Amino acid sequence: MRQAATPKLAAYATLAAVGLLAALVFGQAGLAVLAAPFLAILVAGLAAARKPSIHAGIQLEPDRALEGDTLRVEIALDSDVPVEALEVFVAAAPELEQIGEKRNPFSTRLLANQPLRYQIELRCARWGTFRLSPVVLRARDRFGLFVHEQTIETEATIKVYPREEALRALLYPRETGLFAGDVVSGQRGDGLEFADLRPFAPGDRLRRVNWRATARRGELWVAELHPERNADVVIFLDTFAEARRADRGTLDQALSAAFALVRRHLAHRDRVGLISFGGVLDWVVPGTGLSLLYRIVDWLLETAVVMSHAGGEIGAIPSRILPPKALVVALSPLLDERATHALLDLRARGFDVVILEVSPLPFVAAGHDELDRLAHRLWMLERARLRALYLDAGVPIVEWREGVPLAAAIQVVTEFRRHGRHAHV
Amino acid sequence: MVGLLAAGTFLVGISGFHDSALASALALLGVEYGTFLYLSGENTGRATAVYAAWFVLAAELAYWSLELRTPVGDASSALRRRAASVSATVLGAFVVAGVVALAARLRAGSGFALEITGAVALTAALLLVARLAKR
Repeated sequence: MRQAATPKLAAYATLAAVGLLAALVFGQAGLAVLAAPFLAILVAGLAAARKPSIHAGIQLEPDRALEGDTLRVEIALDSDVPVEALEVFVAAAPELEQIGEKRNPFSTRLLANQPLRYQIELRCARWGTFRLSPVVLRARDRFGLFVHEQTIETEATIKVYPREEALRALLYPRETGLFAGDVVSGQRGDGLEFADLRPFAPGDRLRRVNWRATARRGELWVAELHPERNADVVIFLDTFAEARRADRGTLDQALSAAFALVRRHLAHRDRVGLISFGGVLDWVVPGTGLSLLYRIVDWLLETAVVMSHAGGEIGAIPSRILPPKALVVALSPLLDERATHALLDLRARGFDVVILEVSPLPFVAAGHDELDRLAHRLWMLERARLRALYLDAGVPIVEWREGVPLAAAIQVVTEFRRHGRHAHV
Repeated sequence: MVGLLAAGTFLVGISGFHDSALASALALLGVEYGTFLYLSGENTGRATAVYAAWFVLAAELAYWSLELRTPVGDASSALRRRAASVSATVLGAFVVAGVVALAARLRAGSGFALEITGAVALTAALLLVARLAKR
């Protein structure tokens, strides 16, 4: 621990020295009587001072949490010498709000070789990966003449996942993939779903003969079936810009939706990829399985809006990230032109694009004066024009506002894709 | 006048503008008390030990208040322990001051040799403090 003298030590030493010297010079014993206690405190304090060696550790319960969950942090302290007054501060991110009666920082006394455990409670206010480090210790001796400080780096890390949106149905591309899955393919082959009847041809299996049609027509007819295939889905996260209040923003909403979509699609054996399209271009190559889910979730926790004047080129995305038959589900607040143009570019390249517009409107209020209100109306008109542009290009777009279930937005897109028109819920 | 100046300096010290003002304030109070003793023609007053204990009490409480400027949650038990520690320190200060006051009243004569003895004792005490502080 780093040892430092307190101002009290210097003050008492000065008082003792000046008092005794003045007593000697002026021959006033009274001054020596006044100075003597300060000298005695110094001698006693300095003789009793010991440099402590304190060990601190942190345990988290649980080590993974969802937004809004309560986290219990246990701080274990141990010292080989007694510490009269020990102040402890666990540096936690502001997103981990302190709740409960126990405070951080806190003060305590440590007895020699008697470990002490102290528990504080934190509320996970926002998703992300947070370290509870460092732990700052400040020990004072009995007379307050020295202060010992130590900063201990810990490995304690908490991953806070966004609250998952409930989903009943998913969006699927017009064309399915090659592997077995849960999506009824438009193609014909081995499957469960009935597609059509046709006359028997050499090579057809007997079990596919439709005996009712055969009896009616007097010749062998077989049933054709739709196979169940998986789908390729790419989540396109627009991270160029976001609108946010202090505690919530469009990126949080988009990540919550991405989290839900990824989980559900992977549960249905679909191939899922992710693109963070913003100041920093990043991606996860499409794949399947539980390991990919963990990778994507960790990747999502690191996602942030990065300010940049560069970027915005679809051509910069490697082709293996965007399989030709994939459905691209874009989660965007449509605040940055680079992202809006990129989505149109994707459509122009023949990709099946769906836009879930994470509405920034709840986070943006019109100003008070006439000019501000006019600017707000113009901005709303511009957004309406943009939506019309997407619809003209055959891209389903739905405005998803904070508080509205994601399932409702998905339903609107499903209706649009089924009937080629916009439905209202 | 010196007392008022000391009180002002003390306030500056405990308000946190300048920590060293506390030592200056206590030194000024010491100067005032020394002047009082000189004018009254006494070498040590009857209540000097009590004054010394009060000085220590004022200093301890002032430095305690400076420590409390950093808010640390909890702790009624810490407050009780600190109050007990301050009380014990003040009591000890009273005892030490009383012993020194009693020693000052002894008729030990005077002269150059005694002055030299005092200077050596003072130097030794300060060296002891410096050595302990360096440890």
